[in-house]
Amino acid sequence: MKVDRRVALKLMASAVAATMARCSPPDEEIIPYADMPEGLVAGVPMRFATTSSLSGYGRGFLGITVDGRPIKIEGNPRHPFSLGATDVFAEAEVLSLYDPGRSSNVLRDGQIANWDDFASGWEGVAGSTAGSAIALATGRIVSPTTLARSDALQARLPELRWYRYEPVNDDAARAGAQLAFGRLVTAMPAGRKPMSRWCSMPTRWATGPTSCMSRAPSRLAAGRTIGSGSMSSSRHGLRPEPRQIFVCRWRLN
Amino acid sequence: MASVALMGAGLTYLIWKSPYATNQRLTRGQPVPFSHAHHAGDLGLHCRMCHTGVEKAAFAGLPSTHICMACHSQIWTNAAMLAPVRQSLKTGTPLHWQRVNRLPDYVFFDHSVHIANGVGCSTCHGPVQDMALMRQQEPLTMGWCLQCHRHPERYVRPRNRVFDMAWQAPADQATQGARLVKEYHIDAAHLTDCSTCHP
Repeated sequence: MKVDRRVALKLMASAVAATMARCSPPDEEIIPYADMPEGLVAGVPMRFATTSSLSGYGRGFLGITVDGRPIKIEGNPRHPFSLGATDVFAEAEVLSLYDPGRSSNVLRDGQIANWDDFASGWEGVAGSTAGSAIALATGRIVSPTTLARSDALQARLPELRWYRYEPVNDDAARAGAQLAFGRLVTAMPAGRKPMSRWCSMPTRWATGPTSCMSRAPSRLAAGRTIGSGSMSSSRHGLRPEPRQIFVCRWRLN
Repeated sequence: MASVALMGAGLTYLIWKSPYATNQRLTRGQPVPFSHAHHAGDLGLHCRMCHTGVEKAAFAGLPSTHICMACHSQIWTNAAMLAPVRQSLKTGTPLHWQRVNRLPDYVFFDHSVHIANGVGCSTCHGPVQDMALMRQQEPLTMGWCLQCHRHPERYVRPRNRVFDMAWQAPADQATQGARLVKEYHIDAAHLTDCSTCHP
């Protein structure tokens, strides 16, 4: 029997095909929930109204999750801050949920502990002193309940130190207003009724949602050194000096 | 010699199509020997009781442990075969089921759109109400899908019969089906577009 090149190739081809004939996908598992959240449909994005806080202000958005995993923050048209839009901080908020540095545990000397450890440690320190060994580190708190609790704590522990820090805040703007007007004021779009306090927030000025940005007078953004200044009616480069109250003077002129 | 190659190719094709290759009628081991014959057949539970996503999502969904235990916290509470379910409830660890009906990852299949367009459960899954242990009834090959995508009028049924496991095509399915295809606005011309299933 003569097997020439052509026939040999044909035989090879059919042998390869025959080998692959029994190739079927590997076995797969389906792992449902043990306890499925109410209203969830597997694989379908779920939206719910939520708030995230920035500088202590609660800001309303819609969160989108797929099978319990947050994937996107979107504007909530029915919330006065958002009016359907988001800002850069809200857009980035979803990443913070995947931040590996985010600790959800009680730590003791850098090691994971639990709330029982905290309670016993707390009794040891707070039970016998006036709180000189205790420091409270928080962001800005606006919740009346939390404020009342921390006031009560301070009353009980007079030497307690309380550190408040917000990486993004409107402290400078508030101090500037105090300097210029002798009291705290809130920026209002000219010729409009006072808007909610949402518009006085630092996020507003750092490319906030269109809801406020479009209504706020563009000159308010003048003098700022970050991105939103590019939309101003005029631009002035300023050094970040604490007593610089250019914006306020501009407004008064 | 050429005929040998031809026979080889023919044999290969037959193996390819055979239940041996498509995994049809293969009964897989499951953590709990759940019987559709008992639950769907004897008791007459509705498909949607456990497959809650079937009308709303691509994936029909498998019941959470809590759905199983909605009944089994009351009945058969000490049955040995349900021990894995109770264990799952206790520990919060889900059951790991073996998938029976599997499509390749490059196929997009959506249960909800088929349900909405009058394709019944039994058309693809067969007489589930008679299966003590679940098995794949149909080959789930592309050629098999195309039988319906080319001629949906042969398979579609009234929407209120979609979950009816006893439904049989009526004698006048040709006219009934054609009427339903029109009623459901099924555009048969585009059902065989590649991108319909391979987006």
